[in-house]
Amino acid sequence: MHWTRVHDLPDYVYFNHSAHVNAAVGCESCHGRIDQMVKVYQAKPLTMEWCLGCHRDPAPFLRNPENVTKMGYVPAPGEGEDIKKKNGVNPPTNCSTCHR
Amino acid sequence: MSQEEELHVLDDQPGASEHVDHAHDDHDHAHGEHDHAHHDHDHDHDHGDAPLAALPPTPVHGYWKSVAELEGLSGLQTMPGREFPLGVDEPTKDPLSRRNFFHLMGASMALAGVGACRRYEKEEIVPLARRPEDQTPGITQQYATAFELGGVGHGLVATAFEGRPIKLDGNPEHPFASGGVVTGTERHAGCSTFVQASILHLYDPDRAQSPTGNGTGSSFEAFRATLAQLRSGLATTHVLSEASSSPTLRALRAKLVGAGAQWHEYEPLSWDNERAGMKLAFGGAGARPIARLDRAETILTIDCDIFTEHPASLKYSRDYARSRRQNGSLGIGKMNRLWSVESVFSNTGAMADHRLGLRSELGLPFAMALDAALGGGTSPAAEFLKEPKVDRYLKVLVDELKQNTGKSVVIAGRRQPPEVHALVARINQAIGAPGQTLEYVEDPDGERPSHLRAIGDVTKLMAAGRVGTLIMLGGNPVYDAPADLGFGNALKNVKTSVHLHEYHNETSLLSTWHVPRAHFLEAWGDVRTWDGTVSVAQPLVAPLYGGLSAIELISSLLGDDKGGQELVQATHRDLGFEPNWKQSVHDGFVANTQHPAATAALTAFGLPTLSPGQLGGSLRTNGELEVVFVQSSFTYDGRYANNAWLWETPDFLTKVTWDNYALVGANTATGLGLENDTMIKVKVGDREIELPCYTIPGQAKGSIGLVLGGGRTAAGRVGGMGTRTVGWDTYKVRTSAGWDYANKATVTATGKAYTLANIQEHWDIRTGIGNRPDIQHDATHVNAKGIEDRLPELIHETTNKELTEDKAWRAEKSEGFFNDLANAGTKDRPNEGGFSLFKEKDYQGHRWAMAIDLSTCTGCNACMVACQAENNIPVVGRKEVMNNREMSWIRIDRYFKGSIEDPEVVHQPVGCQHCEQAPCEQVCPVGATTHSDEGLNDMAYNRCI
Repeated sequence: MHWTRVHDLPDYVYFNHSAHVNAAVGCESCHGRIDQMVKVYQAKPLTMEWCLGCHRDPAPFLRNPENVTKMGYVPAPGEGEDIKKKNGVNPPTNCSTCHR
Repeated sequence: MSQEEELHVLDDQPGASEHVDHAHDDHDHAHGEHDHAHHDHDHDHDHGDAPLAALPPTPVHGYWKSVAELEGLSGLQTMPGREFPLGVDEPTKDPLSRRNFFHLMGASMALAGVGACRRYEKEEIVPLARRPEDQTPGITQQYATAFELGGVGHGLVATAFEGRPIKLDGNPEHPFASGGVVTGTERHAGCSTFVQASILHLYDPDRAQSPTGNGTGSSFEAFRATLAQLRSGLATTHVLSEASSSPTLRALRAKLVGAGAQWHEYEPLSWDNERAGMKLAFGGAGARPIARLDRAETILTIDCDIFTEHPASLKYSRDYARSRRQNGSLGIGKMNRLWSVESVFSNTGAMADHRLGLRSELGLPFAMALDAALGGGTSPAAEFLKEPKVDRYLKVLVDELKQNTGKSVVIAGRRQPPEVHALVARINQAIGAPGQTLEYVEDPDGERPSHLRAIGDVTKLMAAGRVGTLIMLGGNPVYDAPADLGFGNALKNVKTSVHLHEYHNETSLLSTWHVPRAHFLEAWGDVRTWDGTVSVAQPLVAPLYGGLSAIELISSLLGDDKGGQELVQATHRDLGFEPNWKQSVHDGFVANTQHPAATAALTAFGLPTLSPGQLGGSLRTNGELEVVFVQSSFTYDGRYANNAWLWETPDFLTKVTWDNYALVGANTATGLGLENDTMIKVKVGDREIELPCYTIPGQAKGSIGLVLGGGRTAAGRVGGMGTRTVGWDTYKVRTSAGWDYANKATVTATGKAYTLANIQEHWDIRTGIGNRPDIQHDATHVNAKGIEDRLPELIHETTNKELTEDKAWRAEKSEGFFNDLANAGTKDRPNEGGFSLFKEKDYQGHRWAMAIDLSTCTGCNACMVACQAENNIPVVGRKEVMNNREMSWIRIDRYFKGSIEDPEVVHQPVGCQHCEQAPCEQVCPVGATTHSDEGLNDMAYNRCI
């Protein structure tokens, strides 16, 4: 079966899913409400600025690890901050983090 | 020149031990015992017939980069007061403009992937439902493979990214030339510039893409259709192959010879003199000497570059490094000592503690004298041996060799005649080398005629019309066969000639058929490293243009038509390795397949009568000069001519790019009125060639080095096409009689100027600051003085003895770290720090450092090409190099020290410094170079314009 890649990053961007899942970033933070899409589309801009936004302040996008895949989940106040502290989430913002 | 200077090589040579990088054991006898007051002035070379001009004084600070600098910065004054050379900011009018050049550098682009230049388009993906084993998208894979150059294999690891090979390195598990030099480097293996650069050819758009028949484009089908006809004429078929160690090709060769064909092997840079010498010394099938430099305390090389030219150079470099460090393979506090006798200044001579510049021709009388001193034959009555410098060198050397019995080894080079190699075998026996610092293994192909003989024989047969079919496996004999043979003309008498080569080169043009050869990363193969280890070469990609390998072609010719893998596996089975096939492919080698040890019992052998030149002094008059043929650091023997990475990597000693030239000793040049950067005419017999002159300090008196491998007329868009060539074809004066070196050469100046693209004086620190005509450049001037004042701070030198006894030396003399100095000074000097223009950043967590051991750097240039391959650094071409626009991220500085006659060489590789406040980051218009939080200077490749 041939698939069409919707969330397509250029070849010069290094992206590692596991780093993001293990840091407890929810799927929907980047992919949007896949559960409500009839035909999947790119919900977020996936631009460098957008990536950096989260890398500079990840807390609002972190949640308890068991809820990573849960769509429409709203983290409790302070939940992101706690996870950030607990798991030591300090995403780097160097160019070479993604362009390597 | 005073007696003192004359004896520089030894008197000052503790001078060599004053460097950290040349530090070694303090052998007292080497520079104390011999009183030199009584030497006979008659042999002083000043009395010769090529008078020396007054040599410029050595700068007070001792180090200099070029003759121009030594002669009062005359070369630098061409750009007084300017930071950049004239015309650098003007648009280029050269037809080969920068833009064009990038166009030509297609291979580099293909390797890097031009995809990054456009907005990505809609992509369809197929899930890897059956994912290939060990493949993860986005993760690189490494495969063991092997490479062959000049009949010598090298075990490699190739890195592939999503199916595309991107980088080659030495195989760290291979038993030959791998393993650690110091703790932490166990996973490293040796690699050469040619290995590093060979990946570029895979992507070279100039490679032949389909067969050519009778001068017009053809197809593989059409070629295959003619094979049956060729097969019927095997009785008059001759194969001319480049040297190969492949067991599979050897097996096929036996079959083909069995079917009536004849096989010849030719290599323009050959080690057959050593084979012949071993046969002389040991009789029978001879042997192959392999030195164990990690056990050697004293190493003598006779006209031999053990670091970049010797077939075992990767192993020798590693072993040398192991015994060249204070706590290395010789034990705590012991370092080896390297002696080098050579004509052309080589990497080995540059590393040597004691170098003696002698014409190659004098290798024989020198070896005879050494042999005599160690109890062999009689010493020749050669005049040069009585010259004080040579006499003293020999005496001290003999003393040291005698003292280090069982711990010394002598190695002779490719250019030396068989007799020298035989003498060296006898000398090695006398100093107890065999079994200790030297091993003899069986010669794998002892019965093969020498390369020189083979090419002569086959050309004669061709000229006589006795060759029906000539199959040429690789090689480019029309370009590189001895000039007197007239190979090109003889080729016209051959009914059908087939040339298998990656490129449609000079030989292909004159052949009936040209068949594209598969790159070694496209085909199965097997090779043997110099010690004999069978190494399997597996392909990483299917042939991009459908090329054939040599074994596939011969198999097809025999009518078997087997694939490469099948052939290699069959050999593997026949040799009894079959149960481990998978293991062999995975590892890249078959363990314990070294050539068996040879019984090497010396026999008596005769020596030729010495010529008047060999019995004379070291000075020569014009007309009896010696010409030596030198391997090119750019193109090897010419074969890598279409490789822009190699052309733009400056030669270690000359620092020239994009050219080949005649190497003339500084004093020979003065005597003959030759000048740097002018064209000179070199006449050897009745052949002559015009090429640029490069005056190099330390080249043996009366010896002219001609660098091979330039002047290709059918190399490709980078290396030369038709009349637009790169460099000069020095093969034109290389004949069978003067193949290694030739005598009776005449050199004349033409007066024509020709500027070599030399990076030597680029970015000289003085040029911007005040190199103005109104300022005298002498020792009292602030610039020279500034350098002099600064040098002790920058260069710390010591002897091995001092280093061993005075542990505080290495120490623990703390120096203020940059940050401390810049902001607050040091504890001892508070508030004395300099001021930074920028706010210093405080780094937390990891910091990085890299140390380079200057005592083991041989200047082999492999790191420069590796950096280019890894980072895909653009090349800019000859014109732009002359405008100071070379872009390499690493360079290897080479400084001379001492007199222009007998300089020492100091190496300093300069990598990216990852400056805390990097100027390149401040100026980068697109923010491609940035700093990481670990303090590294990172590169976003896709941003770089």
